[in-house]
Amino acid sequence: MKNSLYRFSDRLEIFFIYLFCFVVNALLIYAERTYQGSDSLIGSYINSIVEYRLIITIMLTFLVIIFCYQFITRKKTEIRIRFLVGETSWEIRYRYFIQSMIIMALSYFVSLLLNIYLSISLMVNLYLIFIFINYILVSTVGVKVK
Amino acid sequence: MKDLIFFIKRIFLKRWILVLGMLLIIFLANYLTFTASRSLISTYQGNQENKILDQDGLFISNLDPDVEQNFDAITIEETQKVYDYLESHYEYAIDTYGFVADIPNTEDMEVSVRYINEQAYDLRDIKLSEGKQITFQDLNTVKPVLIGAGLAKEYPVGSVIEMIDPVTHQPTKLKVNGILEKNASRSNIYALNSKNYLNYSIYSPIDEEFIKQSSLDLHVNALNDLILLNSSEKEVNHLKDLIQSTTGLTFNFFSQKENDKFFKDYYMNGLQIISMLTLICFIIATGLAIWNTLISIRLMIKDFTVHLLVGLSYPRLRSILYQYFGIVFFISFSLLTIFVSVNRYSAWYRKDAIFATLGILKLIGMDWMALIIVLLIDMIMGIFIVEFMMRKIKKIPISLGVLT
Repeated sequence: MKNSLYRFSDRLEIFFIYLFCFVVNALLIYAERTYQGSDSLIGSYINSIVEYRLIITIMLTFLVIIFCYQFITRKKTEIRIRFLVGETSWEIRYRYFIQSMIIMALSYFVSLLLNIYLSISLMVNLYLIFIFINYILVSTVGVKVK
Repeated sequence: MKDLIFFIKRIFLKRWILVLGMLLIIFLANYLTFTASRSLISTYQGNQENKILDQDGLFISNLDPDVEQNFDAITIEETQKVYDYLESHYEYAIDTYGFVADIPNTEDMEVSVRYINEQAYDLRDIKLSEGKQITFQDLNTVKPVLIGAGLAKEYPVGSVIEMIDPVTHQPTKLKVNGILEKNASRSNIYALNSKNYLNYSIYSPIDEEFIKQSSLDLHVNALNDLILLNSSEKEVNHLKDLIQSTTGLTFNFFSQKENDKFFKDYYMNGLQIISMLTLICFIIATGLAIWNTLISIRLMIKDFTVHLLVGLSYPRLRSILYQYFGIVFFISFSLLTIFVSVNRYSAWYRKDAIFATLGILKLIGMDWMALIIVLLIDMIMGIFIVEFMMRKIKKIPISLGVLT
């Protein structure tokens, strides 16, 4: 993590954003499974929410876009200075990409604990990983020297 | 106004991701609040409607869910025996639905026929917007019926509807005696928050003679919703045994005490859980909105500082922020209203008569009430976000240092 664009607070922030998305997805899947077909008061309330599970989860992934956007906007000066002191923009990008992936992977593995506890498939969050990788890739393009 | 447009174009929309993010978070919070509010209102309405069943000597039948029932083996002779016994020994109410009639209407809806006997009719307070209540005297020639508000234009009071009765399969003439109130509904006894709307329904009166002529479907269906009046545990157990020995079906009959326990304990518990869940979700959504606001301040502070340096006062900035968040909340609220309306319209596209509602945007009273609750909560959330933002901005010293 040496020479990283991430500070400790940034790492913590994005770690919890990823974790939040994974946890919400797992909880919604658990609620969907538990209350499937139930017409009880709580059941119909839960069903009216989990009916839009995919939309809700994808909407929440927007938090990652917000974070990446503000992170790169804030780091513009730092990126320029790093470039001035001899780093190539490829190195900065590569480091940012790898570190973002590590934080996401860590968050994913921590979220698996909840999946195990709720006895739901460990694969349910994989589509989120695919979405996040895309976000990271797109944001990596934004890491450039102006 | 000029200032507001300038701020929106040059400051907020320059970081459109944050605006979109805020819009999504607010929409999510609004949707959760709306769903919970409507669910609570609907449950309250269902509870009020079914309070009438909370009386001594009243027992409601329900198929025993723990026993495997064999419907194929039942014959109409067996069920008729049950009804003969009921007629001679009990006071019973029938209000059964699920029968579809082919009655032409402009919306091409499948009209649902609800069969109701005199005891059930007296038990329920059926409100009309037009016409008179029905009587149960002469049902053999032209039956007096009540129809839903959706059919009122084509079949006004006094008109005669001809149809093949879905239960007797005989041609029948129905005379429209009255029109039900717009969006009249009937709540499910066991799921108070769930309603069937009667806009495309017909209330058809039935008597002993009709039950004799009707099909096995009505016989079995009516037993599911049977209500015994002025009865006792002993009489109920006797009937339960009789139904089981005659038809093989096992029913539970819930007494007033059991119903009371069900309504009070189960529903109060359910309402508490829903309220708690909504509160937690709302706190999370507010937390996300604050997080997004902090990010916005982080990125926009330079722009705010420049404007404050050249003469923009804090009260003016506060006013601009209120107007801006007013617009964001209004967009989110409008999206929610459209979303709910599209959901209501979907019942019309599906030609689902029991969920078809009438009104502006097809929204009904409880939708509007829930939307008002959302609006009030939005106002509180809006004030909270703007004041929080102003506090944060005021804490940052206005100097050229911020601009570097």
